Amino acid sequence: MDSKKLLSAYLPMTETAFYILLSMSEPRHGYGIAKFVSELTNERIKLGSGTIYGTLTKMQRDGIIAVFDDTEKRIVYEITDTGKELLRAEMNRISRVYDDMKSMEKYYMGEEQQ
Amino acid sequence: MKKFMPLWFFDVTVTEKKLSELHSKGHHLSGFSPLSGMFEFSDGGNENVIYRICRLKGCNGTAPKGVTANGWESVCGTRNFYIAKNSDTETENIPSYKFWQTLNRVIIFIVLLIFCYFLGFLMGFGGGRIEHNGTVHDDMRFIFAAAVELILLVITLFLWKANKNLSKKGTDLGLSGFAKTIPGENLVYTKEEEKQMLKSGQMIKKAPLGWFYAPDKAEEMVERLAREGWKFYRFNEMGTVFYFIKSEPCKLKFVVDYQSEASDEYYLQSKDDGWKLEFTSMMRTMCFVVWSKEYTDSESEPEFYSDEANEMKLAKRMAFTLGIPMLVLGAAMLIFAIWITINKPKVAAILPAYALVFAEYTYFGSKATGFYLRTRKKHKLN
Repeated sequence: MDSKKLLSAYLPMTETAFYILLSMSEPRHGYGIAKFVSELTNERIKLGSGTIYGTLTKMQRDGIIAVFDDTEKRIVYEITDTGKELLRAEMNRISRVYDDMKSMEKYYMGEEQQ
Repeated sequence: MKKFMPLWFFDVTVTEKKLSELHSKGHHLSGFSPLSGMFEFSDGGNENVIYRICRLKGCNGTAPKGVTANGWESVCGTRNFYIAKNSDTETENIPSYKFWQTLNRVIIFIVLLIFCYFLGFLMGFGGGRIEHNGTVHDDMRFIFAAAVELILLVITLFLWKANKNLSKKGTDLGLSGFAKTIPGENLVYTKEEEKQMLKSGQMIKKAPLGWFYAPDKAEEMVERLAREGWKFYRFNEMGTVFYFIKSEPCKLKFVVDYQSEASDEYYLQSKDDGWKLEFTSMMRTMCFVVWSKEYTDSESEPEFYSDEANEMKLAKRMAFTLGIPMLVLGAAMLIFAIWITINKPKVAAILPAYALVFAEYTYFGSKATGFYLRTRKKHKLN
């Protein structure tokens, strides 16, 4: 898949895909990703084992992540340049969403305290 | 030197051994073409090394960084294959055989399908002799089908051996029992003890017909029984009978999964995550796997699929590989039955046996399709 197609297929990202890519700051295996995401989000997001396995398989097929090491029992993945490009695009999108939210926050967020 | 090994991919462990042998005789691998099976060698020293042939999409002939860090050196390769060698012949850090195991399983699956197809032929021909104009001939079609079956059997044996070689280097899932479908750790009681428990009412059996076509219902049943004080103990080897033992009421999450291709990684990752393997089909292609996880009141319900899309995909896979094909087959059988009743009333005597198969297909087919429709509805409501 070329990167334009990938961008339109993956963006906006599901929370699952976003957090899996976000956790790839260093090479990790499936369960390592689950633990990392759970810690990062204070257990707000607990990725199921079947979900991670399915998503990693798909991401590898699309060339977003690649095998870093498979000599130990567990396969370790790393993010590819295409994957990084995709993650940057999503991060930009989310920060724009965040800015928009901040500018409109005053109209909605105060109400619950009244 | 060039060497032609067209069947190199059938059992890569054998090919790898061959490459090591040639290396120790001074023929060092320098290039290969996976399509034609041509291996090229250049002259060199007589060291002992081990080779690994790996398939890795987009690797461009080089081993990943983590693999080279473990002492492997890329030798040659193509876009999607790389061959690496290691002078530490005793190393335990061997790149995964996952792809070859998958390929092996897929080939076995296809060979068995063709085998079943020709078996149908063989049975249709009866004794293999036909009467024509008063004289009896050997039926050539029978001989042809029999020969094909024999060849397929030989190929299967060869593949089976390759499978053994590959899985020796793969992961031990701790499966026990004749059929290698239930994990050994589940078998706490002996057969005798189980018999006693069944008699005394400490253990009960349940065998819902074709439960794997409606996995959500089976999950509900096991989780409900756990809350009522009947904890799931084990399956039988076919996975058709559930055994429960009397215990304290507990919270159990029971998950039936259907994978189009279950790799070692799939099992290991789920075990790491605290899931207990309860059952797995013998074939890893179109594979049923059952997992369970106990949890306490203070914990939230564990999820195997935390993303709706994955759950939906599973239901779709069930519907499109099992449910709908079975319903279509059932419908075709019904049309054929009507046609035969009208046109060949004499042959219609076989219809009762036929009706049984029709009923089976329709029942299981509608169960799997029903599961898909229920899952779809559940996710639309959310």
